[in-house]
Amino acid sequence: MLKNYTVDLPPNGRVWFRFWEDECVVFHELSGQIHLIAEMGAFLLKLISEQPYTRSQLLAHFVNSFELSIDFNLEEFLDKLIIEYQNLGLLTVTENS
Amino acid sequence: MKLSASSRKSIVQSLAGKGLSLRIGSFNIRLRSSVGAVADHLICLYGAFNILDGLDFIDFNVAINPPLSLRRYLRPQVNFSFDGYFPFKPLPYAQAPAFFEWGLNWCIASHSNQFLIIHAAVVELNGQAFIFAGIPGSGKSTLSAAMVCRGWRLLSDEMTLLCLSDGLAYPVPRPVSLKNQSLDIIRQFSPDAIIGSIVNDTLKGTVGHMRPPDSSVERSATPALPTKVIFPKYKQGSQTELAPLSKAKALLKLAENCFNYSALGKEGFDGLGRLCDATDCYDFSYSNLDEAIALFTELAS
Repeated sequence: MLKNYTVDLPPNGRVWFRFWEDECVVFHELSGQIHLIAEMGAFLLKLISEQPYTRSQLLAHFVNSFELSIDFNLEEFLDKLIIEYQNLGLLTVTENS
Repeated sequence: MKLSASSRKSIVQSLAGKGLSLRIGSFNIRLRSSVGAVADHLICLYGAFNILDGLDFIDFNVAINPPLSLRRYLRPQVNFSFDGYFPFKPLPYAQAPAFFEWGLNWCIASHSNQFLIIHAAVVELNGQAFIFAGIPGSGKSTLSAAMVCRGWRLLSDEMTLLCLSDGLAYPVPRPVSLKNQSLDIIRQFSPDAIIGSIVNDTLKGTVGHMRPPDSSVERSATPALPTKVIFPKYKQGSQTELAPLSKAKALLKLAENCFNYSALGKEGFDGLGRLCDATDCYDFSYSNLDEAIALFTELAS
């Protein structure tokens, strides 16, 4: 996994969100699939639905917004989450130069 | 003119000839049929619906007739046709009235993309429409049948037609489909309920239809504002329990129960989102109809 990247919405713009409290529903228009996403995943999508974020900016937002236990590996968690959502077509990852 | 003002002879003649045209909610349908049981089904259950004159635009031209083959003499069957097209395999002759109802469901669900169509019953009291969504067997038709027997207005027991421009639920107050033990439950719950002919051994088991209240049919042109989305689950012996459901989970469950969600794409997603924004959403388990109705009547007061 890359360690220096920017996360954004897919370039085709055909991913739509509805946010309620700590949950969101995502509609992927091309596949017709709908996803229910909660808590940290919803937090991530809420951020990138507003603007692109770099990995370090996202990590900072997560640290400031959640009470994470000492043994929680946030970097690994975030990288895995982003790969999962990338595979679902919900976001895009661009390597920073 | 209401269908109840016509004689059986005139209804049978219309059905066998140019067809009988009826206004059903937002739709005009024309039905042709040579099957006497279909005429009796209409007389029993559609008495309050208006017959249209020959000049109205017809949304759905349908027919229930036996196939023109030797099968009409040996184990007779009937076909359902829509604009001359046969979307289904024939069914046993005795199932003709139910076939009309199922076929019309299909017509509406497949050809009415001006609405977001949710597989859900919708009933109204005091200007508040409650949507009961769920898979077959969840008890939504039984619950809605019992509610209309206690004064709620029936908009539909089968499909909620949600207008994407105004967010209102539009009525199609057709006969309520009751299956298996639901028939006895409603007979015991409301002995005055008019239930048409019973058809056994269908794919859904034993099926009968309950006549919609005349008052609901008379208000067919009046949509209602959805205020509650409820996912009922009938479970014998269970307590009456209404549990709040998050709007995100409700949207996902509604999408699973939509007929034309994928056809409408983003428009459908936005429509469901607006519906969840505007309503309170619940999971509901019940076994006692009186308790359920008391609870919902209180919620609508």
